[in-house]
Amino acid sequence: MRIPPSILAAFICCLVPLAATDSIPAPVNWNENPNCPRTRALNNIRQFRSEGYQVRDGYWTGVLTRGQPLVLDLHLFSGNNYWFSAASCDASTLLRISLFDSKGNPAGSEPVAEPGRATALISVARSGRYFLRLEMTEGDKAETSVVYSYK
Amino acid sequence: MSLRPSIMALCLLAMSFPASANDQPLTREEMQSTLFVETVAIPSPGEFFLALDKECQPNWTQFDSPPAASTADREFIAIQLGILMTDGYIAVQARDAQDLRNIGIDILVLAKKLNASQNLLTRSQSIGDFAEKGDWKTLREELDASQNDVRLALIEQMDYNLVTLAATSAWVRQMGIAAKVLVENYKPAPSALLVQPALAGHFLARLRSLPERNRNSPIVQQFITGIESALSEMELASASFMAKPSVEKIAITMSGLTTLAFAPPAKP
Repeated sequence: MRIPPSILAAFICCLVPLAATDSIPAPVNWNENPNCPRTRALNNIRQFRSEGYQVRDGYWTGVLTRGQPLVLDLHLFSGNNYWFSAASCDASTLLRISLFDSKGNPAGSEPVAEPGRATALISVARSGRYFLRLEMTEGDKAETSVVYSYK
Repeated sequence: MSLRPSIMALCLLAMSFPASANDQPLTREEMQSTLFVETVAIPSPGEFFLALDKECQPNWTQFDSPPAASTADREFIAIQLGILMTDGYIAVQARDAQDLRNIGIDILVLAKKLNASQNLLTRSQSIGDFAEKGDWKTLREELDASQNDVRLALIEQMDYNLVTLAATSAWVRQMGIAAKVLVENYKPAPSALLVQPALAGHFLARLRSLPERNRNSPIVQQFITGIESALSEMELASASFMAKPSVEKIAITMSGLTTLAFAPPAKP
């Protein structure tokens, strides 16, 4: 029996975010409706395209719960500037993005938070490993996405 | 003793606004439970080459894609696909529309062999249009999206092994090109771009976790050995620079892997 690709995709979509993904490729999101958190996060940083920022076609999507921050691994290069953007599908939530260097010390500019979305900028002086912490400061839990752009 | 008003004001401010969570370092638990999401944690070749360009202004036209030898071996095809994806970014850096079109055709041919070309046809048309207009910034985004299209198509087919091989070879190609640029006009500061031990470790882990049949194939074994060697050089380096002999070694190792990828063994 051949499984239709859309069902397969939805199945993978459900499975992948559950894994702390060292062995499985990153989360996949085929849902491109305007209210999905990824689209909202992308809209949030598209404003910087006029400043020369290019949007990366990569993202994290999952359910973010208050009191359970998420810490993502990053590798950033000196000389580049990066805008990180997060958005949830629930505008009543408040999110906060914080950036840290390889030793876990705060890095980047003061983050900006608005209802249901947040951004943070970093101008990288030293190439290497960085971390992004995403937390919900108001609300209970919501599907949330993180995307970024660079120049 | 009376405190000066400005000091008192500062003390009051500090009491009124306790340090935000953003001022606090990550805890040890947080550092140990980070999530490695490939499409976020692994930089795109576009990001890497942009940083390299700012540091070294290399002559991007000097890099040619290796001539592809035809093969039906899916592992080799995936590896070649990853390398050509990176070469697409080199053509963008070189602002060479014709080269980009040629690479696009090669990518389509290889992706078709893996049954992963569904979305690429439309994408390749828009890549051609943007190249014609010289919209290089949008082209980087389009290449990024193409890479993701292939990745998603392979995931949909559950070809996770091929996703691993294509991602690894794309990174190996970037490292080889960057090391070559950096060794030609060595300066300590830009050499830090090559210090990527977490990424090297990640690719090694992915290759080592391939099913035994894939893991034991000669090309995968050569990639494992090559990345192990690059990782050793990265571990010798400091966070702020890599010594010239290490850069040279990475350049030789990574370009050797690229050559091997385009010389698949003939079928007996």
